[in-house]
Amino acid sequence: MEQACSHAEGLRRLESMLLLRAFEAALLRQPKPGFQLLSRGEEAVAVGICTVLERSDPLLCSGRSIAMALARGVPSGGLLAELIGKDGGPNKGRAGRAHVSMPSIGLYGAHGVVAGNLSVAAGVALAQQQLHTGAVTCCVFGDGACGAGALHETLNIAALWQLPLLLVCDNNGYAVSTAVRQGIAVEQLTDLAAPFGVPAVAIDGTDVDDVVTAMHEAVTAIRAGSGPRFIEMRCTRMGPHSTATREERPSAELERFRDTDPIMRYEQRLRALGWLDDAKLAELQAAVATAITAAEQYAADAPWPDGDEALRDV
Amino acid sequence: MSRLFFREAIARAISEEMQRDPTIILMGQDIAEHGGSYAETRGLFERFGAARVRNTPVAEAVTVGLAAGAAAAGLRPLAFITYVDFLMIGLDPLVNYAAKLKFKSAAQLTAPMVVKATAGAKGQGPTHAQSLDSWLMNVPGITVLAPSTSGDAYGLLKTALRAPGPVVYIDHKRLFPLGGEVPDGETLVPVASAAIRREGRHLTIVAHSYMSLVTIEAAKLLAKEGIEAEVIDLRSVWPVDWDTLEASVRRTGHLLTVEEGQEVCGVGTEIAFVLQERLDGLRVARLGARRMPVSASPVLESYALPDAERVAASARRLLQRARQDDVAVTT
Amino acid sequence: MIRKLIIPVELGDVEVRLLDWLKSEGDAVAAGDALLEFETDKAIVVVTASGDGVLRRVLFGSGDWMKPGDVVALLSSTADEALPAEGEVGDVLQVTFDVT
Repeated sequence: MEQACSHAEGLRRLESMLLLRAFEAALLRQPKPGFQLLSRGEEAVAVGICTVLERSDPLLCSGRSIAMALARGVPSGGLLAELIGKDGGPNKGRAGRAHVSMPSIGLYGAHGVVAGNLSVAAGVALAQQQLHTGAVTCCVFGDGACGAGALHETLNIAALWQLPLLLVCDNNGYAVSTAVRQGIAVEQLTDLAAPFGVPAVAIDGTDVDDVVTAMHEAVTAIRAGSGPRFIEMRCTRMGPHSTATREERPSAELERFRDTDPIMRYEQRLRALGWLDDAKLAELQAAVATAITAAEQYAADAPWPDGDEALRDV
Repeated sequence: MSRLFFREAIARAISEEMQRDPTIILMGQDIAEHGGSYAETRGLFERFGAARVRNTPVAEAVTVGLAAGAAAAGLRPLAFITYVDFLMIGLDPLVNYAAKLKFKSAAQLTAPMVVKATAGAKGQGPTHAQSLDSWLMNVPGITVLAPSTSGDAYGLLKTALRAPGPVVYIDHKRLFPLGGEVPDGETLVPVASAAIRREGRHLTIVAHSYMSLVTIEAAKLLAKEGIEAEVIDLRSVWPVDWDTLEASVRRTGHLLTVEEGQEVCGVGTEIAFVLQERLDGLRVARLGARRMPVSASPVLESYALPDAERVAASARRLLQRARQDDVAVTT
Repeated sequence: MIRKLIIPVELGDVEVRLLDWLKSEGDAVAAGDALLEFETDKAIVVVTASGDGVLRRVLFGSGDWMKPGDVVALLSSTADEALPAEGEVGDVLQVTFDVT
């Protein structure tokens, strides 16, 4: 299942994924208030989703939001400032990773409570329906959220009211340390949508072209008025749950994850197509490095937020 | 003025606001054809249609979440929670999302939503009869309104439906059987505007919701003994009308707070503390529910809750204690 | 004999609003006749006479607010009995209440 795309678009997808990974590597060099949730291994999900969504299509995501925000178009300097709690970010440093939003580009935001964004996304979708905007609301959540009642309630109401809502489960295999099989009783996560008559597919979330194809199909159908859809995107969380969590998975398993690295896979595909060689890759990496350096400079120069000003927005 | 049942005042407020603002939608259990658990939405489904008056399943979490998300995205939802006890199920989107949205988005997103819930004991027992106002006033970003009359139900609900952020409007089961005067023209009751229900010079009694009516009865008992109580109905639990309260206690020097919820970390505890900070020498007492769940047994229910006699007794004790202190100081 | 029709005290701490008289002053009333309708916050209540008589004096009109215990009307056994002064009526007319 490959979405035919142009040479230029293929390189854009790769560069976008490279930026996500390099950005998170740069973030690790920054002081960390609290902890960060990284998306290494899940870049294809973020890039694929944002490739298909229009800017007018509201996007909500989980607290694993950094890749999603970058892919959506939050400037990397502003995002870096936001993540370390400085003014100059889209939310003046108040939101951080778990709550970053940028409504001007349709990013209604991350939500730090697992499964907490589901019913909110249904509400955003309801507003699109009621205001006849024609927009599709996309909500990305982790496999951990599939054990929460919020998903049941959201699927039910979305099906009842035929909301223009796309539910995307970013299944990276683990809720912190709990494997999907240990936490969720259903055989397939897509089975959760079946009782509500919500069409659901499971796809390889490490293949950015597959993600684009599945998104296209779902978004087109929802925009045509066919009600909600569910996509499970299977990928691997290549690192620990958070920057503050121990990695306890066996090293043999982590070794295997290398084969599912979406960036490595996509590089191979583009090379096979003859669209990428070492020189081109170095060029893309250099462009990414320049962007990251600029982002680091922006974040370093950004002021700290003002408490009195923040207080006025309560 | 027209005399209206409490539910009619609610229906009129909602109807007028829905007419004025096409982004208002209603969501809740049994609010469409059925007309609401208290018949307070009667006629709205017929008038405004199925898209704007939506029945929801018995699912408070998604109902409040829908309201929060829809509010963030341009609608002005009014979510009905039959009993405020069930709002616990919907607290996550209210507290973790809506209440923080303006702050955390740096004012790029807001959640102009209203949760309407009914509190208070009237025989329904432990999980259908609580008063949780103090929990909600504890959350930065939430406005908490609580009428005790038909007129205030009308005026506060209209205010709620124009507010910039999340409002929890809480009424009380014992108010529905009553009628009350409602202004014929549009009259809004602003937030942070307490009402002096009865003037008095000996002590100030601050209450809200149904306890305002109980307190007025208590003041009548006290008046027979020559004690003149000033009764203030908060109407707006948060933000509080500190100026009206402070002016009153400066006149009376004594404050009794009365509420149907728990005394511990209660509405009255907060009010008494702040007013003591503002006024040296203010003597305070508080009265709330006894520290036990509300029971469906009428005997246990009334044992748990303040009534006019207990309010009057607390007022007497406060004044007596104050007199003893005065004697102790002068001797 | 003169009897009074009251709003039933069993309704408790409520207010009620008179909707309509189904009989007029001077009308003969037979057991089983509906006399008036009032509403509570929750229900429409139809008051039905349990005995015969004549509706003599109506004390509240449509739209008026009343409380349990309020005297709504006076009835007599015959059409020409003299009505007593206010407060002298002791007996309560037996009625049934049909709540919808």
